[in-house]
Amino acid sequence: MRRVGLALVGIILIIAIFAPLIAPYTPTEYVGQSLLAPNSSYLLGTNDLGEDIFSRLLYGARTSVSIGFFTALLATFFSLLIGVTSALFAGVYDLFWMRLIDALLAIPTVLIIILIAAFFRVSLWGMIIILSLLSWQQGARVIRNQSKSLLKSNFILAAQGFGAGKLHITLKHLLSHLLPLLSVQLLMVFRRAVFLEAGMSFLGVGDPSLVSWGRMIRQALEYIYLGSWSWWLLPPGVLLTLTILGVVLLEYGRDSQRSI
Amino acid sequence: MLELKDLQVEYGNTKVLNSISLEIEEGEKVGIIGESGAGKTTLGLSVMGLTQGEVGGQIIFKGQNLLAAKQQDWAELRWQQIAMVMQNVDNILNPGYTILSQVAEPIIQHENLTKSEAIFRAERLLKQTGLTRAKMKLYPDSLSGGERARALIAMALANDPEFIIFDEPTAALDFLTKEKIATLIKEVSKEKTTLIISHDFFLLKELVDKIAVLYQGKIVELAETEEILQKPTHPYTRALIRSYPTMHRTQELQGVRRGNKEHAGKGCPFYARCTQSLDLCALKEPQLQKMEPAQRFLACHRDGIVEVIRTRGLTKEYTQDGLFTKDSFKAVNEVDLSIKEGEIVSLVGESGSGKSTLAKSIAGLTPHSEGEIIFKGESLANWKQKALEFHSQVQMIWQDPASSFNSKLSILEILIEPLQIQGIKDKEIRLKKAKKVLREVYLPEDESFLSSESTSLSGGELQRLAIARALVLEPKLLIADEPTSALDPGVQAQVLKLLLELQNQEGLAMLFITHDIALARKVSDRILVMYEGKIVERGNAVRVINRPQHSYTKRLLTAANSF
Repeated sequence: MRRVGLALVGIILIIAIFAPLIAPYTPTEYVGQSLLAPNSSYLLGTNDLGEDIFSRLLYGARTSVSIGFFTALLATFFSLLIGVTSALFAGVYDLFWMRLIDALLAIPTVLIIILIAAFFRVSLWGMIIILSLLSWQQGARVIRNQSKSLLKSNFILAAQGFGAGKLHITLKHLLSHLLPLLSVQLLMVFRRAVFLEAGMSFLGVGDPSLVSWGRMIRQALEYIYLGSWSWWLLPPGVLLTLTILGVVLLEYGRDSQRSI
Repeated sequence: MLELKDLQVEYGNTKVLNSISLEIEEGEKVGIIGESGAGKTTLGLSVMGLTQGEVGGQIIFKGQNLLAAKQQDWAELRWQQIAMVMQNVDNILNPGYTILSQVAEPIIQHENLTKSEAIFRAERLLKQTGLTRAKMKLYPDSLSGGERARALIAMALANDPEFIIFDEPTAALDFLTKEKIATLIKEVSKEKTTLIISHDFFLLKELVDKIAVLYQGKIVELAETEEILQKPTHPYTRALIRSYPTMHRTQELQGVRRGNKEHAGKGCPFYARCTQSLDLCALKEPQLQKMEPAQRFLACHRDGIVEVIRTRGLTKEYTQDGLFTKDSFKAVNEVDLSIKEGEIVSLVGESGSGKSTLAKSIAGLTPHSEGEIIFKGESLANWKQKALEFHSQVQMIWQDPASSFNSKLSILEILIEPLQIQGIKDKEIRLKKAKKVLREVYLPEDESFLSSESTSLSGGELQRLAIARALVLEPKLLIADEPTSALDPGVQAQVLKLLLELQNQEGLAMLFITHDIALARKVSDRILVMYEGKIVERGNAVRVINRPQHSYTKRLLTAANSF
């Protein structure tokens, strides 16, 4: 299962990285007649603006992967920072963050996204930042709890007995023991970010010039009466599903490996 | 009666006695103790005027400085007023004469008596020391060690001297004979002034009023016999007492540790072997000084064995705030304890009695609620300013060694971690120190061992690694929290032996925490019994074990006895 996941994610990554080499056209270039059915020069036909759907599909992988990757990195960094410092400093500081997390988790994510969509046009990086700000909370809580119990363990007490400060304890002892947790966190945020990005694009949040699977689905829907769904709507949907499935399988593989 | 002032004796360039000052009043009985080579015999011989060395200072006998007196005058005093019972070695008696004639000889020489009168007196003396008429007629070869000792005493008594020096009167004798000779010495010296030279504390305990401890030709401590035995103040005195087998100690014997420092030739003679020396000790020789308030003289820059840690009214309270109530519970309740350099104090109690909380408070790992912790004369609050330094001197060994190591680190990383924390940046030095402690705990020090993970070690090896890590910073106080309870008995014995050996070698003060009173008995100088956060009984290990006062101690002992 882990292998299947790895293969899926691997393929998507390759597509994302080598998209300019594989794609026959630039995704935003007018290449011919609009709304063509698939043929030998346009593998998946063209859209309403005469852009090659296959090329857009490949470039869409870039958007999904980079948003997933950077959001995962940024959000996990926030989780780590807030989780570890809350555990280390405890007291009011800890209380503040934990209650804030409770409050933030109570607000539905989609609502925030729709609100943002109503007022702003969001670039790729803007999207990454918004998604990061929406994804660190759970991780921070998990990391804080784990750190708190690690801080009670004997080897950290022993290090304190040698006069170790908070920085030493974090770098030398906490991080190495939080590593498995961090990798789970990265995968989870990645998956969520890919999904949320598709959702946001589908809802029309974000830069319209961004090539994205979510946006493709949205556009395809408008022309569904033409019967173009099978080459315009389905492929981004399938790729999105496969990407998320791949990551889920990876996470699952991790868990089952750990329990053995 | 006899006063030594700044007495010095040199053989060639070797100083055997170094400014000895000692006063002996009439009728007083004084003991001199020290290891062989300390200069004890030389001291006796120099009072007799028989030493071959260069003698300086003053020996004042009844107001007369013997060193300034003519040889003639001294010779007159010798044997008549000052006599010496020579050390009982094989060739001390002339093998060519019978015992009787050897005892009669000084009488003939010094007093105007005829031969038969002298022999009559010699007979009486020998009889007084317990030799039968038949034995007196024998040659020294035919006598046992005890009998020869008696003959030597008789010889010293020949001219009825006022002052007798006994040089190792019971060396190499068995216990029963020793006891008889001790009784004899007591009897013959009843109305005399005596100086008894011995390495045997418990002979001196029987025979003398005060004891001077001689180390490398210098008196390092002088006090009343009981005082010195109960509360030795100089580290050397305590080491001597500890190395002597007795029924009053349950611990293993410990030798006086070997020196680990270069001795520059000046400074305190004990410097090289002392675990609490200051820089000053290497430079300046401490003088014998009177210590207040006790009647005690001591030559030590540090005023004797230092107290490493003391707590006063130490309390740790845990509170739980409820909605309407405030629950609190005192895990540690007004604990007073004190541990001196080189001393092992056991803290005994069942689980939940607050032992570990106490340990963590003392180690500075959990703040206490009330009371005071004083480490090396400074309160813990002051040490907070220099926490790193404090932590380098107080180390803990944890109950479960495996959990006290980060499983992700290699053995080398584990060992150098304390050094890194303490800011030792030089990799070479760190490696050297790590290897040194590994050698001390008998673990391998090769590359493959250093780079392996701690999880590959057995329980005994793990605890030895823990000990090594605790020692890598050369602490002064070691807190061992149930260090052997996770080990099986065979391994426990090994680890314990190692721990005690290192403790003695480094002169560590150790708080040994255990639930096992039988173990505490083998390990400690003193035992504290803890029950529900309070110290319910404290005292010398033997006293606590043999005559427990508190019912809880009695219960612990009954439980220990039934296994």
